[in-house]
Amino acid sequence: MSTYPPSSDSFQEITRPRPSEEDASRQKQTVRLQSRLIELAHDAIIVRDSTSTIVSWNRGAEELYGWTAQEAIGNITHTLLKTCFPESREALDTMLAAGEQWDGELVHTRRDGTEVVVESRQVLLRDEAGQPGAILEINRDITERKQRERENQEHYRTVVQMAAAQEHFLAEVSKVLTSTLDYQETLANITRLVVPQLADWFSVDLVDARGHFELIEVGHKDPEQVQWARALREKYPIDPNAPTGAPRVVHTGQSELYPEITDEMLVTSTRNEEELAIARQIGLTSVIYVPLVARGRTIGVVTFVSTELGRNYDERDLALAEEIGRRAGVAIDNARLYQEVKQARDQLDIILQGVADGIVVYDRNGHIIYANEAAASINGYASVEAMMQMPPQGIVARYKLIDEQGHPFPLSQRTHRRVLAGEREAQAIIGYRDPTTGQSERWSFVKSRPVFDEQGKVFYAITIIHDITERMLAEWRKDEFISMASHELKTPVTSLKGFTNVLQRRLAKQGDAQGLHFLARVDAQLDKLTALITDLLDISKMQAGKLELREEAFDLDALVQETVENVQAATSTHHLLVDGKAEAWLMGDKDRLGQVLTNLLTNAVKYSPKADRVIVRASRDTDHRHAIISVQDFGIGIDEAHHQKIFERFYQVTNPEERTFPGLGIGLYISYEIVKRHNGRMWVESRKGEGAIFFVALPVTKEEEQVSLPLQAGNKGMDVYAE
Amino acid sequence: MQSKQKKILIVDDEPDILEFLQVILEEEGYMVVMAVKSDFLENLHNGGLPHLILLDMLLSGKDGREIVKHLKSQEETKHIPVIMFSAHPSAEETALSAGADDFLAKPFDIDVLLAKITRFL
Repeated sequence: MSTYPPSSDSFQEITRPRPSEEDASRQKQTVRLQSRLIELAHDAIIVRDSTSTIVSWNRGAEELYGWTAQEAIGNITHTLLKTCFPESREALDTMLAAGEQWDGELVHTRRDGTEVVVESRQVLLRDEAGQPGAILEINRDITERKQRERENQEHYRTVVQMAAAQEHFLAEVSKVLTSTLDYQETLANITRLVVPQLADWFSVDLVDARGHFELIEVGHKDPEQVQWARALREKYPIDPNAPTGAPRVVHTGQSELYPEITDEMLVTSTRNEEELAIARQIGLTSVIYVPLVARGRTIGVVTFVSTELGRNYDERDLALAEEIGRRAGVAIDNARLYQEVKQARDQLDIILQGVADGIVVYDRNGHIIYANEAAASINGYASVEAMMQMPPQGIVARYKLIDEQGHPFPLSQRTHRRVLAGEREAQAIIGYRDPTTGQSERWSFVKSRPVFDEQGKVFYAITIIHDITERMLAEWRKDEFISMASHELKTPVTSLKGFTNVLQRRLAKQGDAQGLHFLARVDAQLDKLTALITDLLDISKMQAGKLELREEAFDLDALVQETVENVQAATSTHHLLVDGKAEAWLMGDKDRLGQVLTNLLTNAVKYSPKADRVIVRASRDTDHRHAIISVQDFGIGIDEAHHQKIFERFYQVTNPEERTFPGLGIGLYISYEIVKRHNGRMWVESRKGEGAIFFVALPVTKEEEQVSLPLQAGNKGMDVYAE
Repeated sequence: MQSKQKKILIVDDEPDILEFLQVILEEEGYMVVMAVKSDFLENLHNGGLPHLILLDMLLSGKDGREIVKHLKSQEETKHIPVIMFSAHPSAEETALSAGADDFLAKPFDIDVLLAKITRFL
């Protein structure tokens, strides 16, 4: 083997100063230990002299480079090892000469010709005179480490590249998923991305509430194979209770990765020989099942199948597949929601187009954003499209809009405008008048309501137009009929009354007192008949909103006095007493209000047959702005249950003996309407058996106007429509 | 015959009404000429112009109004007082605006009518 003592001697010579005599034995011991250490070291330890000739070569160097110490010593280091310097040999020498320790990587060539990368540390030793001596060099083999590093770097680069590819793939998937809301098209697009890049077979199943699978997409590069796969699934539907595969994914909500499908697995997962044969024929290599998740719920399963030998799915493929499952789930869910909304909208549209009522939706600027056919037709348009094109200045096609009185209907009062301006609900009756003929062709009852946005602001106005032409015509026909009938009735009554007057004059001349008495009865009944006919006419006018009221200022106390006197003249059974004064001027129709009082007085007399008086009271309300007239009788009274209803049209109170009091229904209704039209109020206080007090409250003309009122009192005043 | 006797023309399509009015007005000393709306004009000058005309508004209300308008537009007849009557109490406005001097709703008390006539004659 190699001879170490010389080299250790030379070490001792150059590394240590010459020892003194007394230290000699300890020095020897130290040198021996150091020599042993150098021999034991794994690292190559080489000493070269100033001419780079190797003077020492340890066992580590022998093992690393393949030359024995004997072979190596005497050679020039960099020649023997074919050293590759990071910069140059000169740069290294300069550094060592400057007294610095040099650290760096060197590439050496071994005896067998292979390269070795070493981490090298070198230092220049000087003698006592400071002259450069030997160079100490320790080299550690780092070839493997360097190799690992390189591999790691390469691996890292690959991973980055793959991640980028996945990222790109997922971006493509996302693009496909969001490109359309058509669910089938979306799935077909995903399939094109996945097959065959990620899978040879790709399928998507939806699962219903009972766990049954519905194959909604299957992909393979060969369309014939796709047909075959579909047929196969028809024949062998997925067993919802199977312990593995898709059913398990639905059950757990977790993905399933089968890196390698063994024949044994096929045997256990198939139900019969035929199925097994088919599974073997497909040649499954590796399978991934991932859940299709939407809004936290597993709505189906996506299956990736590799049939290619050598392509076995791993965790990375699983992660990608899961991502596809997640994104597809959202896209399918969106598509389904869109379909549901669209279907609901289509259904609604069919309903809206089918209903007889016109429906119009206006945006906040009053533009029409929806109208159905009925709306277009009522407004005189040929089509919905024609109506939609109209400017928001109102719907003006063939018709001029009018109100019930025949006046033009202002746009600002249109119901959608009122709702857009803040009303919660608005309704109106609108007539559609043909401007050329001046005839009102249609009538509708229009109602609008607002739709609010999230901020609570009006977003839309929805208007419903209900055609009431028939009803209006029927009303008019009825009014016309009543009006005609009362006219027709009055003509014979006029003749009857006329001839009665003729006879009265004759009998008066003849002095036939009894005959005159009978004729007076006839005349009184004719007056009642006339009153009833007048009431009927009034009702028909009120119903049509055509009861005309005069507006003139008059003294209420004078009216009360006059009316009481008139009724008293026709009543012998009761005393009509007037108590108090209202001291009020009113603005209104004196005759109509007189009619109200007459009605109350005659009722009071009629319904208190056993009493002998009726009390009329006139006063001011506590607020002083209303005059109150009350008429009190001491008759049978009215049960509280009837107190409001007696003011309704044709309502009659029937007493326990089943005796009805005709006339009440009409008279009170007319009185109530007249008072209401004067902005007044009418009510009754009564208990059964204790008589009744009817009250009328009417607004008094303002104080400042009263000064000039007497001057106007004689004027005819102005006819007004009270509505 | 008597120059003092006032002549009243009554226009109504209802014969009964014409009849009782004739009886009473003649009893009151008036000379009565009667007409239905169609022969009104020929009766207008029959035995000289009337001192007063009682005119029914007639069913539609239009003919009576046209008649009064015509009368009031003619120099010869415009001074003749016209009292219109109608079974429509609300026809009063229409009657007065058409030019009638007074209005009476049917059915009426004969005394009320006589009072109105006296006012004009």
